[in-house]
Amino acid sequence: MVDFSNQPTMKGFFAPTRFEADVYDCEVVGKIPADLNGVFVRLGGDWLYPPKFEDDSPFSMDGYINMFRFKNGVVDYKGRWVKTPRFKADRAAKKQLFGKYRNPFTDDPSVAGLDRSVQNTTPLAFAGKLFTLKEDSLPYEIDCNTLETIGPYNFHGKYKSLTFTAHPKVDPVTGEMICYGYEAEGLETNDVFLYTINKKGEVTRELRFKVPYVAMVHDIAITQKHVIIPIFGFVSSMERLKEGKVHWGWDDTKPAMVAIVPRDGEAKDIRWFKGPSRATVHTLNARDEGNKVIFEAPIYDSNPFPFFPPIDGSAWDSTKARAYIRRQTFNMNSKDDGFTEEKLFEMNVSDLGRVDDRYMTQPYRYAFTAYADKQRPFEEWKAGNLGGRVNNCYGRFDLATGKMNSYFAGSTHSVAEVCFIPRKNGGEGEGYIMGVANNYAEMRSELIIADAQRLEEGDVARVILPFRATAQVHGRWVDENELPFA
Amino acid sequence: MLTRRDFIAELAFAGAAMAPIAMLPEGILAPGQMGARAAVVSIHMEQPYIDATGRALPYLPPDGLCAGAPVAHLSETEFRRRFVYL
Repeated sequence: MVDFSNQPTMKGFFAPTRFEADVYDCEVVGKIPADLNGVFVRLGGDWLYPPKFEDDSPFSMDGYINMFRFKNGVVDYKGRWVKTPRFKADRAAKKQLFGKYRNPFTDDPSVAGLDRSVQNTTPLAFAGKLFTLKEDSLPYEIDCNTLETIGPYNFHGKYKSLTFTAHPKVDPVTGEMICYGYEAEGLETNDVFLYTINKKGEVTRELRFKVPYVAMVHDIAITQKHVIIPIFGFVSSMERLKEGKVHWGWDDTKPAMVAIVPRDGEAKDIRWFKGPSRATVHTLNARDEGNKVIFEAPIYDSNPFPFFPPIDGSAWDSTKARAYIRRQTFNMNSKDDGFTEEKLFEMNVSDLGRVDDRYMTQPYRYAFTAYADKQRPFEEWKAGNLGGRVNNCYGRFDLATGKMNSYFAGSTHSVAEVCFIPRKNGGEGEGYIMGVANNYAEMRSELIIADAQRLEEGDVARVILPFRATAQVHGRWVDENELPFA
Repeated sequence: MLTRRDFIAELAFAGAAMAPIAMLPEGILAPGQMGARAAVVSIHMEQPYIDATGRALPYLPPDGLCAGAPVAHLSETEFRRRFVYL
């Protein structure tokens, strides 16, 4: 029998939910904009069974995909587990069979050789198909209407890496997807396979190269000419896996390295740049300016994740786990491997930032992300004393002026990653922001919709779920015509 | 709006006037040793609800309200070990 009672953090709002759900014609406060037709699809995780190890990473949670379907001013909700072989094995055994994050040596022997991926990171709509992404395996195809799991997908057998990033980039100019897998030839290999896939879903280009050390390669950015690939101090080895540790540990001696890869080049054309220790987990955007590559991202000072602890045994330092929007400039004519860095805003923010995707690879002005505003009220007697520890605002950061506009979610709320939805035929930043908020007083989740140009005015509409939605990592807006919706 | 805090404060001030009502540790007022017909008072969403007949069962709010409280005591390291993107 399942028992979560000895899980000290799975309480209150954060207790596992474990159910699948359909809510037709959700309760809405305000009015759904008539031009919003499509789905807001979210991917994250929940624990079907408690983790085998108390110190495992939350990134081991079972994948759960859910979507808010917008059609003619009405919103329906649907949530389903991503039914991977791992999920099915656990459910059949009625217990957790899998061990620590990306460490098969900690699994129950009965599941040796089984695909141990949990699909819990990013949803992707591309070439008419819906996928879930997790960087340790191939994408899983999902039925966009039922959200039932179809299975792993390898782009007609032409995608050869064993893994697929959670952060492919779709070039808005060409419609191509730039994607990659790292540890591409298996656990602890230093191979990266970089792919271009056209808008029909056909692999048109593959480039294989090696990274200087086995490291997390979580996200990239693209320009019209280059792919920017940051690696940083999350390191791994077969030895640490055999010692029963989680896949990643933090090595503060590793420099942050950035590969600049020509989109039409070969492995010999790659330039590696080095900088001070940083953690660039997620990116915003990049562009070419003459002989320079300009790259912007919310970049941490150091290790953001205490569950991937320092390998030297030191304590995790929360004061360095802060992300700031920074610009890094790479001179492609330079003879050395250095680059310059600027901090564009002095406030720390969530590193789950987004831009108007129509401007990817191009000059752009606005970035959106969540942040914690400690000056805003937090009614702890209703919500519990999480004040100042949770993101309660979305910001629009103007990279041209340095100004920030703010949306406040509420005095008993925290917010998940923001998503920007452009208004058809509108200019950059014209449209809506969308994201799910936890309401700790009402024990429920609420989908926020606000005008991206009038954040201070608050909600345009708010969709009320009568329960807690599962925790989200990433969410994406998928327009009505991108997938074969019923 | 009368908040729970205000209500409890007024209750303490009222003292003897509210003597027939007994208070349970959870902040619920219920018929106790004072007599079978004492009022039953429950509090939900900041509002007190009083059953003057004394026949009602006191309302226990779901654990989920104030739903961040069970993890609020965690150190920053323990908090971020579980809640990465909150």
